[in-house]
Amino acid sequence: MSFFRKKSLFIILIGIIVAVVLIGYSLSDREEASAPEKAVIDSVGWAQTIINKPLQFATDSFSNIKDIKNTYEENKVLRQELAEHKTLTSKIQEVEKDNEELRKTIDVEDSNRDYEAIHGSVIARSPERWMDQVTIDQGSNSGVQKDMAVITGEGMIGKVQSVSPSTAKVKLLTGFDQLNRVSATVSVKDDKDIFGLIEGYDEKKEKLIFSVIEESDSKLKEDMEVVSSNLGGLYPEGLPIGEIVEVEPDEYGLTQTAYVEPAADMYDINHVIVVDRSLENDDSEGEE
Amino acid sequence: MKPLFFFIPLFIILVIEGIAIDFLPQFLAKANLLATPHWIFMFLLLMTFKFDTNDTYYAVIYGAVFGMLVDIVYSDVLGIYLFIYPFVIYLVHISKRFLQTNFYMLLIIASVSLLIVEILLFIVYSFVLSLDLGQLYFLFNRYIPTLFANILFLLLLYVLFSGMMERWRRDLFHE
Repeated sequence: MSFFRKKSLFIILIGIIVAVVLIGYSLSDREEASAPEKAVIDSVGWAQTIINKPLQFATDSFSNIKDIKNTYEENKVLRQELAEHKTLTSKIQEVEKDNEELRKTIDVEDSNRDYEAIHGSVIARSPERWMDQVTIDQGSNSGVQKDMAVITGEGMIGKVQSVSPSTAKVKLLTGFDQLNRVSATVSVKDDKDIFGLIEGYDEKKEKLIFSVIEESDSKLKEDMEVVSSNLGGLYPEGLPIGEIVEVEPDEYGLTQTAYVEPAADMYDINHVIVVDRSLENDDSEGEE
Repeated sequence: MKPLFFFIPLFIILVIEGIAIDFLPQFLAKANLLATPHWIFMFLLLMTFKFDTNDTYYAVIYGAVFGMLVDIVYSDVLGIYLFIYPFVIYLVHISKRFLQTNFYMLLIIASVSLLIVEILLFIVYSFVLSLDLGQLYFLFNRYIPTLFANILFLLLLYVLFSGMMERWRRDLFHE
């Protein structure tokens, strides 16, 4: 019996050592997951897609039935919006034309706002910390790369954290921390934009934290819109992130910190768009 | 060969752990009642009680294998579940010798060991990801819904698998 106890103690110690080594290995900044990891992730992802498809269909058709009830009301509102839209489109077309001509005059080809969209759908969420991470069904085979921004129709939801051939893990804005920041701007009417960073997520307030880096003369106010900025070099400009709901001076009283309500609903993400800017850049390099 | 069969239900559980959350009612999430499914752990518990004898450690071995898979697929930091699942299952395995193995004892053991798992997870994460220790109250905020979600699943597993496991134990180990 005592021999057995010694043996099990030995195994537990080895277990601790292995665990610590592995934790250290995975926390070291490695570029991407190793090949066997990718294989496991992909095969689980594949199984999840299979299970997910019929479930998705069921929930979709269920919500369709709900939608039908509201059709009449919505139709009225939509008609009104459609009329407004028509005037808007013609306006935008003119503005775009103007923009293009102006760009040509100053020899700038690419806009910071352009991107290629890769459509995908969410197949899983991380069971622990489920506000941190989702898995989508597009991977490096369809061009997804690390650090690309991920958006839904409503706004930005996060960035690609790791990629395997047919799935990718997306780190959600609500799981961001000091190591994962997003450069963002608040555009101010008749003044310079306020530039800052989305620095993390306040779990108690359930809001994103936006801290100002470069101030302009005007102060942050509530209801201002926060959009992504190109200054970080990773994301295209102008992806909506959220709306400011609360402004506080920071702990030293030098700048301001704002709490931002995310534009996209982080609890309910089904279809996402991965924002691919690299294609655009490759093309322009090819032309030169 | 029979012990190898458990790979299949465990893999299915691994797959649905990631999906199940998306189909939970959303008001739960908005009320900040975050439940963590430790369903693989629940299956392993049932295995310890109904399949493993005092001298076999299939559940512990499966705990290591599937802890590793959970690490890879869901947490990105390898080694956390790989250590915690087999370790706690081993503790359960030891304590099983001194306890009756009836249904109510299973529920009690499940609740206690879940608490141990959650606390260990919290400790490891606070080291690894330097979580704020002030978030300790989140742990208790999470424990009750987690317990609820997992015990429910354990009941389901019990109905589905306990008879089969017991039969196989009799066949394999002649107990």
